[in-house]
Amino acid sequence: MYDFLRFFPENLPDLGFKSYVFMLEKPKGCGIVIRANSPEELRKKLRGVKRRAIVGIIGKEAVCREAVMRRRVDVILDWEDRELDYATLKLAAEKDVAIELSLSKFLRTEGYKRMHLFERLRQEIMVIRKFDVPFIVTTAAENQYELRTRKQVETFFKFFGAEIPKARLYAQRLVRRYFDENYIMDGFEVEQLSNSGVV
Amino acid sequence: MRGRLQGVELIARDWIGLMVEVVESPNHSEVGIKGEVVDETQNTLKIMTEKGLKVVAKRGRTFRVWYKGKIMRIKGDLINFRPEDRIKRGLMMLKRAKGVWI
Repeated sequence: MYDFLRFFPENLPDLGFKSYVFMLEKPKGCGIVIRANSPEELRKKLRGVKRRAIVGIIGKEAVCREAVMRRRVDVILDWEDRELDYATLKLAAEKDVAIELSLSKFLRTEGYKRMHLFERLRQEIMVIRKFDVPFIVTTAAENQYELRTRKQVETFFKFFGAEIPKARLYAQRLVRRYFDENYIMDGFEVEQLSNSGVV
Repeated sequence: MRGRLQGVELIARDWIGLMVEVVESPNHSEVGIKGEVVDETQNTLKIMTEKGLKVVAKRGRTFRVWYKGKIMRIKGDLINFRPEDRIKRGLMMLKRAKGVWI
């Protein structure tokens, strides 16, 4: 299980994750975060991404819908006001774009707003299950106080009906796509170099 | 194609003449069948083994393939097309796959 963080911690305690992916706006992490206010801005920023890295998008509903149709986009990142409608989630399943479900937005909000987030999460998970949309469960921590253990994250989303083994698989696939030399695509990978002279 | 993607065109070409081995199959007696592909249809591979000609379905199986000095592991579902269609469909699959730049 991988955790996707939004900051670069100096010393990270053992929280039970296999490894961490740092999604940063500066080009030093293993993931790139792109914030866009409009689909045009998103397209412009995506053209500027040259590095092989996981690309995550933060934006409103129109941006998210545009993002799922872009090949360069790997994951739709989670934030407080993210809105994903039925069609966007269905399209994400077709286009193989992962949806991030994060815990930190629930920690940052409270009261009525948090209740709305719970409701939205429940609906998103229902559609995710229906269309088998790739999704990842993360802490999406922006500082060290938002870090949580793997068990806490998994239990939280399991309560809302998320299939955790699938989330682990999708996260692993996302990381292997860019950082595993032997991985080419789903169901196609290099085992090792052959010693025999067979063509 | 160089480096990591060398040999990626395997899913976009016909397999006749390649050395393959069945590594996963719902039929346990098929696991371990190893030999040279002598013919191919949309749904099956005909493999010439030491014990004779074996016909193995592609769907649901995983194959180990020796190709360009590498050992590849590939799911049969990815090659479940007619060999003459595979160039078109295989390249389309590679173009659509994320993280693959051809």
